[in-house]
Amino acid sequence: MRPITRRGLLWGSLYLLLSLLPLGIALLSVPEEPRGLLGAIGVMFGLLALGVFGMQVVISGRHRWFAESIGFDNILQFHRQTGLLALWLVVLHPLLIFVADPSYLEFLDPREDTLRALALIGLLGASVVLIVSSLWRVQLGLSYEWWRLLHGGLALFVVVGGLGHALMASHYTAGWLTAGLLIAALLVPVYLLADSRLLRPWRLRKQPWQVVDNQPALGDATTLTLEAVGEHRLDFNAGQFFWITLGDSPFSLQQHPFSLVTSACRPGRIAFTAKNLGDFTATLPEITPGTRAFIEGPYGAFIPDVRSASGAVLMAGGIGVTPIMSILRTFRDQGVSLPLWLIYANPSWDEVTYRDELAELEAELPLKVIHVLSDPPEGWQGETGYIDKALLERCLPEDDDQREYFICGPEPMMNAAEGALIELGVPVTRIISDRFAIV
Amino acid sequence: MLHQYVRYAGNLAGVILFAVTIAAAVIVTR
Repeated sequence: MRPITRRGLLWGSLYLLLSLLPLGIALLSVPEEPRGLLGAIGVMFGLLALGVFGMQVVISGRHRWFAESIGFDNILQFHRQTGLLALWLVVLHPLLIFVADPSYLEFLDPREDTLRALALIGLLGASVVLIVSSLWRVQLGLSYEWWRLLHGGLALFVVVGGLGHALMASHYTAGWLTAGLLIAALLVPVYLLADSRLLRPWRLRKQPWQVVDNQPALGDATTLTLEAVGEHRLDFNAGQFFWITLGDSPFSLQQHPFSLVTSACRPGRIAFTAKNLGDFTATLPEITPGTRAFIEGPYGAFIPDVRSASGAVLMAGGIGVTPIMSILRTFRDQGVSLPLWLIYANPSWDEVTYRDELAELEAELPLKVIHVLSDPPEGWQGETGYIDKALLERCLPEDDDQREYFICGPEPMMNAAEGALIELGVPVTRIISDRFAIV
Repeated sequence: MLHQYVRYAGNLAGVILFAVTIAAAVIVTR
């Protein structure tokens, strides 16, 4: 079994066990007069929702001990999918209880108990808003910064409120032992949420960086170079990414993930390149040298294995070339002799970020760069169109069971490249993707 | 790991959690 498969299975098993923890604790004290099957399923879906919401907080909090082995972008994809599961549970929980015994509908009646009714309606509404605002953030026109604040606040409300609701319902949760264990289990995600949103920025304030250079790059992009203010440095593997806050406070809502483009051999001076996408990235050209920055990380598993791989095929679409630049610059500094191929897709030649340096790297490394343009200039001799199976067959030697494939770019390009590799018979475990549009 | 496989893993986790929860409810109410 490959290490990534083993790590995935271990991680998945741990996720399932911890999600079921509140339900397991509640089952320590089964009520003497249990409800019918439908009502019991409804109650247990509620307890499962509590576990799933708790785990949503745990897995998305960028805790490296939990995220490192799988890759944070993968975990966020998983987080999105299990968010849908949480939505189903939140809807089914009251629905099944009401169907099994309609008298419970009075719980939602403000005339019976105003506080209880408002709390339950608020909890249900917050859960739905939490999930819907995340799955359709862009369509709802919600900025990333405000969404992130809303997401953290609602997550805290849903976990703490859900715990309070479970304890007050007191059906499977009666008894000090059950209640105590449930509180202890749910305090862990609450602590981890506080750690990621408050304690981590608090620690970062002691390790500031500052912008020392700001340069435009091809492809409507900007490269910011930063240096540590003090003795600290960033140790990272080439291909990893960081969450970067620009400004005087590490608590700013403006915190965004960026792949570094610099060599991992030079941890005291780093740089990242971002394309102007019309959001926060549109302000980057105006950032002046001297601006403070706070850097959290590293994250990500987009890291070639130079010890066991026979070669690495790097596939980039547009600005997705950034982690690959870090890999190539690091390999140059380390004198790595691994055979490398870069298949780099762009609309036009004028949008090929780092095209001149890539030509230099091609001379310094065992690297072959294959540019693919969908809108080539007149007289273009290179590849045209998009990355597909035929292009890979044309440009790459036959797979040897030990080569690794790295893909980073916009969603359609990544789906096409992954699909082409699978068609060619490359196993999933040797395809490493870095999806930067993660939220 | 591939994007869609992670989604499948998320769906599989959901199916397992649903099944375990329903099984627990059946056992408790029997």
